[in-house]
Amino acid sequence: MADPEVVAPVAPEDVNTPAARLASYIRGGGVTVPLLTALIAFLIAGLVVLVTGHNPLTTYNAIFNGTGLNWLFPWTSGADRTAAALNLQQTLIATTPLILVGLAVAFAFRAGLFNIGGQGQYTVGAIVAVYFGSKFGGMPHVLHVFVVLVLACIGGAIWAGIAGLLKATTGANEVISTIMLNWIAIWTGVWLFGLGGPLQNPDTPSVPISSDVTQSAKLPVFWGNPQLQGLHVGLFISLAVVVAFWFLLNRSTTGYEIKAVGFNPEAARYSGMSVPRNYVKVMAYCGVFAGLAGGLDILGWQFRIATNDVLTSDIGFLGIAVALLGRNTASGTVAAALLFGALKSGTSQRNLDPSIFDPSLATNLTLIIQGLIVLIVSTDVIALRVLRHARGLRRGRAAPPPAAPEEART
Amino acid sequence: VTSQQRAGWTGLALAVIAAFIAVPPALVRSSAPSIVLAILAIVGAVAATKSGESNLRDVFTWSALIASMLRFATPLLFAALGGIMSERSGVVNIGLEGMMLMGAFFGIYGSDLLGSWVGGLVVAIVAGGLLAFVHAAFSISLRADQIVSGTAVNFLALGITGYVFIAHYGDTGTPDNISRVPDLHLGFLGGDSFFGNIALAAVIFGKWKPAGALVATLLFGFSSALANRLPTFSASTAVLFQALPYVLTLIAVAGVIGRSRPPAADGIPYVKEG
Repeated sequence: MADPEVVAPVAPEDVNTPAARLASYIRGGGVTVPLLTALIAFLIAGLVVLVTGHNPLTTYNAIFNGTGLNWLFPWTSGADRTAAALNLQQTLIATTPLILVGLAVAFAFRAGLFNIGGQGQYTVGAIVAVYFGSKFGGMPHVLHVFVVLVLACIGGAIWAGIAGLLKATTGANEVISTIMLNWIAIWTGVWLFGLGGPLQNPDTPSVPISSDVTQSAKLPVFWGNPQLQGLHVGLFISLAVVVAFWFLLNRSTTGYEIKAVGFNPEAARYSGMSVPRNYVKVMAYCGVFAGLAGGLDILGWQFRIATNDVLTSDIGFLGIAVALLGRNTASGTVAAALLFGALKSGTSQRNLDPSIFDPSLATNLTLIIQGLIVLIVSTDVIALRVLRHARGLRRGRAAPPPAAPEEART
Repeated sequence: VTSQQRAGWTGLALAVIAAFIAVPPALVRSSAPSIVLAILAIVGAVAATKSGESNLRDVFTWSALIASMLRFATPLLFAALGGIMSERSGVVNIGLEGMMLMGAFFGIYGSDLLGSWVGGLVVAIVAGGLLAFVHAAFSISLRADQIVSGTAVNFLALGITGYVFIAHYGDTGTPDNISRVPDLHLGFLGGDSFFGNIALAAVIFGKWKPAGALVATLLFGFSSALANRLPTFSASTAVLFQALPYVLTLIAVAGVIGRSRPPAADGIPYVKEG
């Protein structure tokens, strides 16, 4: 992905925003570093599998089949193909919100902000969607879906906007405030749908769960059986948002300002941009993305929220991994979301063949892989070193490596 | 809406308002008055809840509540002190909860393997320390972004503990007959949620000072105790006390610049000159 970059107006050592530091990540290594990162993570996780007495190759093969990506192979046929289609639908259902929460984190990064609050914004979007989706049953289908999704976006935007506003007005660190907002949203959700809570389903007083979304607010399924959780049109909505993200960031004044603020707030201020206003704006956009993710999950396949869903969901936290592996670009985010979505569905109880590898073990393996990927992404030193070593072997040691100044900074 | 719910709501509103007064914009320099006020706020919340229900005294006694508070506060305080050490030395520690999780699980695991709770504690310390070592190696030696590597460490802790848990105990949970310090039973490890960045919140609310962290963890421990004890008579509102520490911390951070402010070089990788 060839994103035109804003050139940092001053030497990088004078700015210490995450965006400035990440600028060097994006410059160095192209698509190779993320690929290498994922490869190293899978290798280490494979070692864990091996050490605990399983065969990593058959395990990974079973997980791959669980993702349904073998549907893409023309030689998969018969019953295998039917199963693969079902699994692939699950993978893409999981990918849909991951793309959006990934964008929510990536967008903030480009403005020099670290949005850890994807989980809270996603939760607020889901709460808003389930509330308005379970009401107004008589509304026309398309209108109802549209209204609910817009409200979910607004909910997320307001929630994220709080962090932006606090940063703009009081200088409160957005990392801290978004973490706090995550847990406030989560516990509020548990309260709302918990026993005796204000939004608990009145028909099932002993179950801590919300009311169901009405038929008129459900997203249509375009692949697979709607009764078997087929693939809903939310995937297209999130891909459309990716395109919008790209245009917003690379072809609009807003995007230019946001990137300028990200690289150097001081320089942006001197060139007449309002840094505080940009902080609020950026966070609101992030909330729109993450809130929409929550809305799509509710209208697409969940249709209701139990308090347990609120507590155990990790979609928003995964958004951090998606954005980092995708290098905060539009296309990278889609690719990373597909990887994490595939991992999620490939290791699920529903998709993974338990005779080869225990799914409850595999879901934890997924967490290990995610952790390793984020860990390796946190410093590009490792990947760059491997890369440079490989290049060095090819070229000899005549010329100094071109990315040397960046390495000193990261 | 029942009377208990209304009482709980009043209590919560009181607590939040009092906390707002407790962290005034630029008025108080010392952290002591704000913390005292915050404690009063919680006590007020309890009193408000109490006034809603006459038979409340029978349901929970103060001693039980205090015991519960200390139980929640003790591990939090250790974690918060660790957090202060790393943050004051310039390394942001989002991974605190992951280190706690490692300690919690491997404490049980070690106690089970070695048959003694002392051994369990040693294993817990080593496990938490190993995870902290990973965080340190990446954020100090490899100059990684500290927030990112802290996030990674949390994912890793969840994955590692979950993996060993399932591989060793299966889906059923830890056995009951483990050598214990007091009463420990890990029911919560089955789920895959972070159990809140509450130690981190305590570090921040305590303004990166040990004494502040002590009071913050007691306060948050009390809040958790309320959340766990109140459901006996008011199921729905009690859970909101779980959110209270985060609300208080958010208010403290937002109070005004300089109220709850991280160490100056927190989060910036140190590079030797020359």
